[in-house]
Amino acid sequence: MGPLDKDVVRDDALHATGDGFALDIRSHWYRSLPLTSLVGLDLSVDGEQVPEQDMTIVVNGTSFTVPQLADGYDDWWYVLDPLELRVRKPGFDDAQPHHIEFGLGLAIPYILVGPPDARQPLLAASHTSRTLTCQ
Amino acid sequence: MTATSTTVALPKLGITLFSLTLEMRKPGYTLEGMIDRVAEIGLGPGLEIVGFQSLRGYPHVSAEVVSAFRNQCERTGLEPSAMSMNLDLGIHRGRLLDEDEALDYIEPQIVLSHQMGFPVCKASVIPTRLFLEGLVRILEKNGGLKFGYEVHSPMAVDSPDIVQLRELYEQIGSPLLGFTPDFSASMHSVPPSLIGAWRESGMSRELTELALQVWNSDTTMPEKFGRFAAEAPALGATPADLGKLQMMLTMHGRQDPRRWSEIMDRVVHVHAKFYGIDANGDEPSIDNAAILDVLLDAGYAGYISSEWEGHAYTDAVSGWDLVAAQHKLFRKLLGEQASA
Repeated sequence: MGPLDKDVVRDDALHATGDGFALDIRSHWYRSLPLTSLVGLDLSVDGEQVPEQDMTIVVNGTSFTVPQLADGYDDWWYVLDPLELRVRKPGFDDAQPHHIEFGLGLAIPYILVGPPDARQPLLAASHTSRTLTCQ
Repeated sequence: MTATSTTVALPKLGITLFSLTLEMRKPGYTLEGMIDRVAEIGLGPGLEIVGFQSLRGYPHVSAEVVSAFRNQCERTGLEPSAMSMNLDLGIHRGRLLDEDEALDYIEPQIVLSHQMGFPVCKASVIPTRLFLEGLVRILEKNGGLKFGYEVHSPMAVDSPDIVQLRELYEQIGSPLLGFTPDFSASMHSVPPSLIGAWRESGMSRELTELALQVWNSDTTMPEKFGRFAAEAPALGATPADLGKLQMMLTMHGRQDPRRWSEIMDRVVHVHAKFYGIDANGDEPSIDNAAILDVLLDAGYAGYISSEWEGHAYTDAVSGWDLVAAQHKLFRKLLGEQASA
């Protein structure tokens, strides 16, 4: 929707790890958010959807599984920090370029939408589609 | 215009660092460097920050960070104007904070606002007597800090939520409870920068024209949303286009600027939201002269905090330059009106 969407996956975001790869993710919102706000992490690589159980999120040096984010109301993603999305993918070829499709969904905890008896956080979604090589 | 020259205290200009949302992403950014530059190029004296944007670890920051901020303000001549806080009612998945939890959530933010030297803090509220009385108790414990609920598009002074809040304020009767008018609620046109962003994204001319017609129509918000839903798909609108049109209705309101007078007795801070300055030095979508008339008529002598939000639409311009241009416009208007 806006200029910050271009910042979510930067040119140097992709890194090889021992058992797969890691993607540095930056927020498209203007302020820090709690990890409970991370409601959408939709990643596919070279057309293949990454299953949730193969993802680990590293913030402030601590690792979280996707289900653990639901309890992360006291853990904060500082607005200028990259969040590291680590993906287990044996056989990942770090010498080739890879096509990344990434949907980031942020539940904005202070902007509530919907009918008065069912208000819930606004969903701010961002989508990135780009081809990257490992740095 | 009833304000007269010389004896009337004028509002003070300032900036919220939210205007520099894109600039803070650039290499070499530090909060201290940004504040120094605000002072150097004269965008004060008022300095407003968004706690959750500018401070790592907010609202739990060290005494060193607090004293460094206060010392920097003293050194540069900048004046803390307002702390923009957030009441994250939806911080838990699947439920909202209740009133007691919400007060516990906002209290450390108010404590920090006071420690950092801000005279005013702002956030949303739970519009109940229980919450607001608890809020007053926290404000009283923190030096009588004032609270300015932001009246921001799509709300206006006569929206049901604001009318309810005005009534609750009257019942509670505390001078600490107030409002922050945001100019987004009282615009006369859709910002040209937004129309440009639509065109750049490939939105058709027909759809853009429908959007402007709907925005300019004297109908209710549900009627406007309904008309988009009924007419936009036939003009080729994608779901993403519909999202943009809804965002436009949410972010830009058409309240008559003169109606700000209805809440001026409780205004503790002002947000001069803007989306661009044209070649003539004017804001093309907001009648700043009309709004300043209201502020001066009411004797408002607090801060007018410049809030450039065009960064939501474009990164082709500099937030620094835009705020400087808006200050130039305000200085001209204030000069004209003070000598009128």
